[in-house]
Amino acid sequence: MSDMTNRSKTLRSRVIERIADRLTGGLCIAVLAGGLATAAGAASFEDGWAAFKKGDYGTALNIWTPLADAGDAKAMFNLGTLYDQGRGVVPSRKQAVDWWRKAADAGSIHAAHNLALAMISGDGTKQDYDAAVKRLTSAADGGSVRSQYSLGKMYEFGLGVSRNTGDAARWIEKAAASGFHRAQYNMGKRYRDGDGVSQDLARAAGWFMAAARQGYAKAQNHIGTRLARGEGIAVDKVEALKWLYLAAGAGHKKAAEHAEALAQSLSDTERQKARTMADSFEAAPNDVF
Amino acid sequence: MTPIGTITAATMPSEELATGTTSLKNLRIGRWLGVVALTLTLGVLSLPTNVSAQTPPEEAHSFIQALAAQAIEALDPATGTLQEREGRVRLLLSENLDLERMGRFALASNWKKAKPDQRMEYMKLFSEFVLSTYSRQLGGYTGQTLNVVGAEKLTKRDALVSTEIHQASGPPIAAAWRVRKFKNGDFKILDVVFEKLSMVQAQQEQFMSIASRDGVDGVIQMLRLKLTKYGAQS
Repeated sequence: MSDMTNRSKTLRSRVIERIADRLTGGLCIAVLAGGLATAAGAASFEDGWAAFKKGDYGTALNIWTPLADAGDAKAMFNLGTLYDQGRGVVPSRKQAVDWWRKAADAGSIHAAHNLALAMISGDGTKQDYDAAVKRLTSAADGGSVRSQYSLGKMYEFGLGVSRNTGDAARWIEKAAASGFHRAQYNMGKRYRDGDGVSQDLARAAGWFMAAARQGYAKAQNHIGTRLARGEGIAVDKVEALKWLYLAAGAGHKKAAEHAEALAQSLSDTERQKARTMADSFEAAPNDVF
Repeated sequence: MTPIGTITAATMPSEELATGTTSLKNLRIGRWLGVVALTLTLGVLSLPTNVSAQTPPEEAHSFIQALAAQAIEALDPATGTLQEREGRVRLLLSENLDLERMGRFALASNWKKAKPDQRMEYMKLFSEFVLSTYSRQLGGYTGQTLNVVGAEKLTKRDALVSTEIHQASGPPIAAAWRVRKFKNGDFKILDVVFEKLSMVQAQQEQFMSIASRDGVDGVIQMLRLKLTKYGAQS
């Protein structure tokens, strides 16, 4: 339905453009296209972004559309997200994918990533693992941290590529090194188990700690248990309890059980210290991507 | 756009989710705005506790109206950044969406096949996915109003409340809300229908397709990847 609406909008735009050409020699298309296009005539990408942040998605859409039509990859990508999320428009995965495909072809790594995800799930486009891997590889090579992680997952499960835990670990570690918490947690497990890498408990603890500091509850549980046991890291039961309290506070049930068991082996003072440390903890999320 | 189809017995979750007289044979057809036949089951969105016998449409209407008022307040652009506004909408949704039923419905018969740790991981990812999707979809608008235009009985237990979301610019968006009243008096939203497209049914169709190929783990991985999607860039 939205596609029909957009087709009719496109048709209407063309009619307006033709009339405008006849009346003014093509100088005043924006005026004839209405108030929205008036704003778009002189508006920049940044004007669209300002409208977006205010929540005026209709204006953002009207500013970014002509920019996208003129080849602006960032405007194309953002239009895709407006359609994907239904901001100011009826949600349309197909429209989203169409814009992301154009933006990806114009060099947007963000668009290539989102397009690949749509291809993986068959959301607005044909389900196609092979094509998804190609798009993810291009975005990952271009520096998209999320694509590096996702590509690693494709290698891990053999989707669109031959299953290869070494390549999986290589891509996921790239994303981990850039600060993606989920990738850091994943590398913690890989080094713990020797999955695609040589087993290395110290590195495992290091990656769990990195993700834990970003507030990732599952990693907090893992680093808590390692600190309690001295696995890959020096024993520190109070610090261990701090992480377990944090993970438990985030709803991690096993962490709550681990915390209860560990607390029984500590004094009141130590338990209190761990609680105080947990209460004053502030996650340091990495927003590099 | 994913079409609204008919949910068949093969796509439905296990009988153990059903309660009382509900079973796989109990199908009811709901209509919305006289345009689309939305075929839904009674059993599929059922869990064994605290379920009311029926949801009076007029009460569902009031529930959505009150929720809309809270949402408009949460969206007040004078009270924070886009991210903060979306955060408030997310909180509101997490309190009023029945994520567990929605998640079980979306996984359909695969719920029964899933191991306990798969269920836990799936439910966590599904909840995160739904909340982030809907809070972006509904959050952040300025000058938005949500008008309740009607409510009707959808199934024996549920009501469907039709609304129109009016924006500062652009055409209004039709959204309908499947609502259930529970014995304790609470109301929960079980589905959102944007422009005649049932969100949970669209999810179910997608998950079924992936699960038939890659099992429940495939759905979990797909959700994990979906959560890495990029939002708009400055």
